[in-house]
Amino acid sequence: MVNQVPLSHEVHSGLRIMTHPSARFGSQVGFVGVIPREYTRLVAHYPIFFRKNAENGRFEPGVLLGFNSSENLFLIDERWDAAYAPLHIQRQPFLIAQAGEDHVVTLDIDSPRVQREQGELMFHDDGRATDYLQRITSVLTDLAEGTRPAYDYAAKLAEYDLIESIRIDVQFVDHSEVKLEGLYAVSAEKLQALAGDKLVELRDLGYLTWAYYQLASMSHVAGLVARKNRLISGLK
Amino acid sequence: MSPTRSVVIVGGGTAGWLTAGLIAANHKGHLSVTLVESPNVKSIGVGEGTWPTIRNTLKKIGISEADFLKACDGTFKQASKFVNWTTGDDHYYHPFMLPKAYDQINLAPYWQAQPNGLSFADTVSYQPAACAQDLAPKTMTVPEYAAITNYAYHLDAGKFAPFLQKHCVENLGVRHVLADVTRIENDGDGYIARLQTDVGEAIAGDLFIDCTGFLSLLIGKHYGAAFTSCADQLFIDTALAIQVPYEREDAPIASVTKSTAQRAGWIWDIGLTHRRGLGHVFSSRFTTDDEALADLKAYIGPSGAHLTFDEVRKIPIRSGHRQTPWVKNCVAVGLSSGFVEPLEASSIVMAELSAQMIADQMPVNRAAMAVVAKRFNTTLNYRWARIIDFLKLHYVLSQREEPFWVANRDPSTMPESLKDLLSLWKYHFPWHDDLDHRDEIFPTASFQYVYYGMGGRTDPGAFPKTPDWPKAVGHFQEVARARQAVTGQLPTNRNLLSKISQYGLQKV
Repeated sequence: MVNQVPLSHEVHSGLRIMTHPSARFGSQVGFVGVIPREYTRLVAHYPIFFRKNAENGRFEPGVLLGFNSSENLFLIDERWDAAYAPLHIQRQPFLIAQAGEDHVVTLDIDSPRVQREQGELMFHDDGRATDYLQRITSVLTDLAEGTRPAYDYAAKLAEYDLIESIRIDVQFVDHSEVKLEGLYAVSAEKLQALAGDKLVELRDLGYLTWAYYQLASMSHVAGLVARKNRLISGLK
Repeated sequence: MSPTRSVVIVGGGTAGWLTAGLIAANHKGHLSVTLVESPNVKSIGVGEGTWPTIRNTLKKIGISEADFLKACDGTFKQASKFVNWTTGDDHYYHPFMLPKAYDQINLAPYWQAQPNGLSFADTVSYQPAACAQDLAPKTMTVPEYAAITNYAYHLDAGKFAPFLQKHCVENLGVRHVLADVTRIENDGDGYIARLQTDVGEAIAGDLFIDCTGFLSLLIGKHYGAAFTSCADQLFIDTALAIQVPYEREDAPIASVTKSTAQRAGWIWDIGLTHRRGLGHVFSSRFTTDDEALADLKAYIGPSGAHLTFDEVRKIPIRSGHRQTPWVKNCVAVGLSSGFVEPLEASSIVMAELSAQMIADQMPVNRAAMAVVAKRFNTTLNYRWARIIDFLKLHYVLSQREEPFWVANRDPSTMPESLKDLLSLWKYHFPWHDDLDHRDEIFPTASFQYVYYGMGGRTDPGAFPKTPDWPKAVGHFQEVARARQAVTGQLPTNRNLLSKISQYGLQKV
């Protein structure tokens, strides 16, 4: 179970964090949420879709990492097999919580990443944050600031009917099949047909660029299939 | 040949605005649609139950589901639940979902041959289980109008018509005229040429649609189209309607229309978001207004103990329909066309189907109109006959002993077509071939749910009709699995409605 506690120098100064991805650290996820600020880097590696939030039905952007909820084809031998890992992967096992006006960094104290002997220190002896913790804090800040724009962007696209439901039916080399549902993508056709004030509005908001990044990222579905086929064939 | 360019609808209730919306949405830019409404006539406004067709209807008109639910206090309806209809101490469901694999296999013989302790409906569908827990038919991730379990709505009829009106006028270009029609003027061929109104404006048109409710101003008063009564078959002739608050603000909202049998009729119970709508419909031949009110009070319980006639609306019901709902260039939709009792909520769906048929087959000129009218009349007569058969089925299968129920079982009160079906179903399991049309208002599945729900039995003799047990058992197991999986996943009716009101629903 996750047990997020506010991070404090007094309490957590001696603790270290294992930073590499691993199945035993819960890195086996088939989909992870992302924010538009990451799109320029994500677009080189991952297909960027939308999924619906189960609680409120809102669209949230995220990248597909595998063909079921616990398959991460980018996790190979405790190594992340791409030059860039999404911020929500990088931030583990930290979170950021709203506390009034401010944000508070929290740590999942029960995570197997939290160690005493191995891993990165969070605090220097004098209580200053290490470079590692500073980097994590910046990741968390990006996420905190990027979540709202992600919602607003997706909501605007939905309002203009630019999001379509996607079904992925794949047959792998061993003839096993998978059907993925619950994924949504930017509709190329509808985006192309958009004109006038709406188009200008999307451009001015910066959404047009993001939408085209998402469209371009769709080619990585084929890359995911290739990864899975290599895995099935015993190659890595 | 004079081409059809303008449609004039008279009457601004549910039927009028649904018709205006469907025609305007279907023929935008080609036809002008005008709706004339009397500022002095109040619509009946107790029609609160719908069929799943309503989802497609609203979608076609271009309405957002979340907007509709919010504006009309709408709730989800997944079934009718009948209480005490068979013996006086029983209940069964008529769910909207077809029995499992209904296009492939008739599961009724298998269910009957292998008593498993479950009702027919529970054996072939998981929907009754969802209803028993007051669950919603979908989750927040399902797009608007799409479903996990098939559903319709309960709605506040008093809010539905104004909601449709706003959409029709603002988004579909329907012209709304508030005026009383004072005179109807024919042309030389007996077609309606124009309506004179009390605001001085004469309204000309090529097709006139009578949505004036029981007044039946055009098809009845003007054209004198004959009215076929079915009072000899369906005895209900009076309704006492009332609205009651929920006991608590967060009380569960039922996802069924609950119909509870009484000594000489039954009580409907429909849950909206902020209140319930109740009504006791009965036959005045078998009970009195006083008794009917007493039964309604007893149904409501302690909070209804002091109810008086001042607080209930008494509505006379004249069951029957026009033999020719389409005459010349005038067609009736809604109560002006016909009404049988409210059992199984046939009224709004009949208006929808009629309006849809008119919109789909909009005659381009008078030559075409004569043919379309003939076909429309044939279809409507067929539909009314099927509705009467289906509603009467609920009464003839009862074993209740009160005079009303005994009289209902008198064969002389049953349509021949129903008698034939009942004779057949003693030996043959109800199946697709038993009804003529594919687009029946009540499919044969509905007849199965009611027939077996009320203890009907089929004795196939030497024809056991169970050639594929493994397949049937497989389907039964799948229903049982889905019952666990789906009911575990669905939120309650109230929970989903409050989320939709907060967040809306996605279009995809």
